[in-house]
Amino acid sequence: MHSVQSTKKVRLVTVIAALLFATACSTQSGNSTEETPKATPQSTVTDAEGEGISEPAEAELEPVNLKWYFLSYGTPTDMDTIEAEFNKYTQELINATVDLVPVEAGDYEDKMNTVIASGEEFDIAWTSNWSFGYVGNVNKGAFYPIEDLLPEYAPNVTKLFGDKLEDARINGSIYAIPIYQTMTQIQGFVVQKRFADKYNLDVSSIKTYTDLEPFLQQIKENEPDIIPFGAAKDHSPIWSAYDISWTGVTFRNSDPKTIIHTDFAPEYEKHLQTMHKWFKAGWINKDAATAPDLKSVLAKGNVAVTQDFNLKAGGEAGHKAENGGHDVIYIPTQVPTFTGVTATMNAISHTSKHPERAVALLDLMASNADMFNLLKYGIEGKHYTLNAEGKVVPIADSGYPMGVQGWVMGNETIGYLMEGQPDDTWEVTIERNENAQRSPLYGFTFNGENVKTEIAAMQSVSGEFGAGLQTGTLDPAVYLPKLQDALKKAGVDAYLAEQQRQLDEWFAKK
Amino acid sequence: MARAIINGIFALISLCMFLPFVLVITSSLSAEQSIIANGYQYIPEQWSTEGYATVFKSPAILLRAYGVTAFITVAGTALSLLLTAMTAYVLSRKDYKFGRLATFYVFFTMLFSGGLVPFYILMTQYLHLKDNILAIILPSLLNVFYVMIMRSYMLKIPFEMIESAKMDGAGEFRIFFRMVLPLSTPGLATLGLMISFNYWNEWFNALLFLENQSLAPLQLLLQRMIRNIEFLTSNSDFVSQFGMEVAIADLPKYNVRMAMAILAAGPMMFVFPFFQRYFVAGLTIGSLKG
Repeated sequence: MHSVQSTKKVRLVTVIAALLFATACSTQSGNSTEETPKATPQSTVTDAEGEGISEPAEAELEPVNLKWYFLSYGTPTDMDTIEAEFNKYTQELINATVDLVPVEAGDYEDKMNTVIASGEEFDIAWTSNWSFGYVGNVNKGAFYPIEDLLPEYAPNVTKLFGDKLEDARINGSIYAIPIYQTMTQIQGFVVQKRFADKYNLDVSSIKTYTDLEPFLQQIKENEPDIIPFGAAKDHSPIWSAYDISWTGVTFRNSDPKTIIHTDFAPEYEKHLQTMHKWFKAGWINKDAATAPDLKSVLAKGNVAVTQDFNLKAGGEAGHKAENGGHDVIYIPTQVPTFTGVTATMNAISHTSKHPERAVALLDLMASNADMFNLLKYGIEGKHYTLNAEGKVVPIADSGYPMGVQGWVMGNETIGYLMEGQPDDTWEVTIERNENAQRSPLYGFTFNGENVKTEIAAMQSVSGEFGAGLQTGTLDPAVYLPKLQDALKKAGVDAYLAEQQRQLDEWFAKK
Repeated sequence: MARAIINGIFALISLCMFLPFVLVITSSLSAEQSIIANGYQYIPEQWSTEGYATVFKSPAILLRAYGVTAFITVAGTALSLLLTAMTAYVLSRKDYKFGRLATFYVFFTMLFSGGLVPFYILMTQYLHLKDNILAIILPSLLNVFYVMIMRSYMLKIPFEMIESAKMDGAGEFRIFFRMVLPLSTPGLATLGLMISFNYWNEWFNALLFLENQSLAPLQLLLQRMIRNIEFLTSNSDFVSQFGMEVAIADLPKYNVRMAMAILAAGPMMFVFPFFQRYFVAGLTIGSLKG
């Protein structure tokens, strides 16, 4: 394997591995770890506010070209202009040019899987724990272990994340640099303010669904045109209201060592009964099980209460717009909980010829506000303008979709704010990130590779009954046993056993 | 009586195909509010051309995509027809010594393909066709199934004609271009229509190989729009977590999606009637045993 002509073999192995979803390609990652990064002079020490690598090292760097695949929305027709501008920075700071390759979000996973499987040479790819999965790709050997490069080439990232970087550790190393953005979640209910005021809703008394019932009853009786509780087909319980948490695996906060499956939990049965009662009482919109999304349910502004999985700082403005322009108030069902850093990251490809330079580029994205703003918003005057408060006002149809890609690029908190975002958005975000409660399973990642078939089978089962049950349309007394039965057949026991095994191992190591 | 029943059945089937299309047209002309309130309707509460207005707001991208699609359709169909006819002709010649072997060789590729990853490697790393319009045209130039159809069509051209032309001193190319091709017009028109549909609907190779956005064909735009909507709705938890209200607000509205669909399908519907004459003739002749 380690001979000179091994490149071809490695490529072949990559292809076969990808095709067979074999996890046994640890030989590959072994290969890459062996190429120890070339030692560069210690003069590359950076100061705290530094913009990446300092002057002396530059002179010795040979020029390279990096290729960066990232997720995007819409079609940035003006990418070339931005790339040219961006390369002025990268050439000056790390003597590299960068091919910025935006891939539309919907295509991203398919496209990248092909790119990885073919062993194409590139440097950086966006990855996460929910799309183009990080763990799976690390296990395939697609990414390059960068832990050894971090102290030297990514001082800003290391400082920014501190021990949160541990979240990205798999199989003993770190393979990706996370994006610094909102890393907390607060689940809860969203209530239209006019009704809360009218009926003197005591916000502090509401901890779970049943606490809402008197209020919903009042709405039903007194407001004939108002839907008391709005739901759509993707409606699912706010688990924090039942003290249940999910971090790749599901568990009760009171007993984090035991894996549960929500569809078999008594809490779920109770929740479905509540929903069914609400539905029969006419508290939930009749079309809930078929409504494609909550947005279309809320649009007319006639929904009194709904739920949201993330009550973000400053998010009321967005909810107001969604609710037909009516003010809303938040009722959180949990304290801010740390969701980890793996939800959006940039990984270094194992086919990269210049992993050090790629890491240095990502370090710049975490620290250089000019570069970050350029990628996120485009060029000032051409793609956006700054208003008197120094906030970004997009220029419509300027060829660069705006304000949507910051969480793919770098450190959100160094960028401009959009018009309408509160001044302290980033302060609150940072404050919450630092102080958020950590899940008792923080640091544990479930690897579903061994139970892939079961997961797929279970997903199609949930698809069958999920919407009907969770919106209260179907009677849980009849359909919940059917769902549980179907899940059993789909292999839920093997799936849970595998989760429990991995969790036990993790606790043992701890 | 029997005739009336049969006609009735066919009328019903036609209606089943026609009505959904009408629904797409009327939905594309509905006001967004009435779609949200009442769902898709044959006669919407409120008409509006807002959908089309949105699509045409930045006509540059759309027109470019139309141009790309038109180019690959015309160039691809012409080249593909020529190659298909040539291959089929060779395989149909009874005096071709390796005819059986060659037929099997061609036919074999229909049963087994290399798979996606080797295809991708071949295109990007050996042929270097990334970001090249040829990457959309080349892979579908020769469809073995069409070659087989064409071959059985050409088999019915009497071999004596070719022999006598030969005796009169015509060369192989002359025979092919002056005799065989004109005699195969119905078959060529039929295949041409099918091939042009394939090219017109092409998006997958474009997705794999074209990174330059200005080369994106029409169907890729449509495909992207739909897949992005799917992506956003199926990952709504994460999407909202990242403060992507902007992206959600930018989701194409229902009437816009329908307008896009009409614009993507429209031109081919006008092309179809011109081919239909040949289409009927081509298929009948092709399926008759001579």
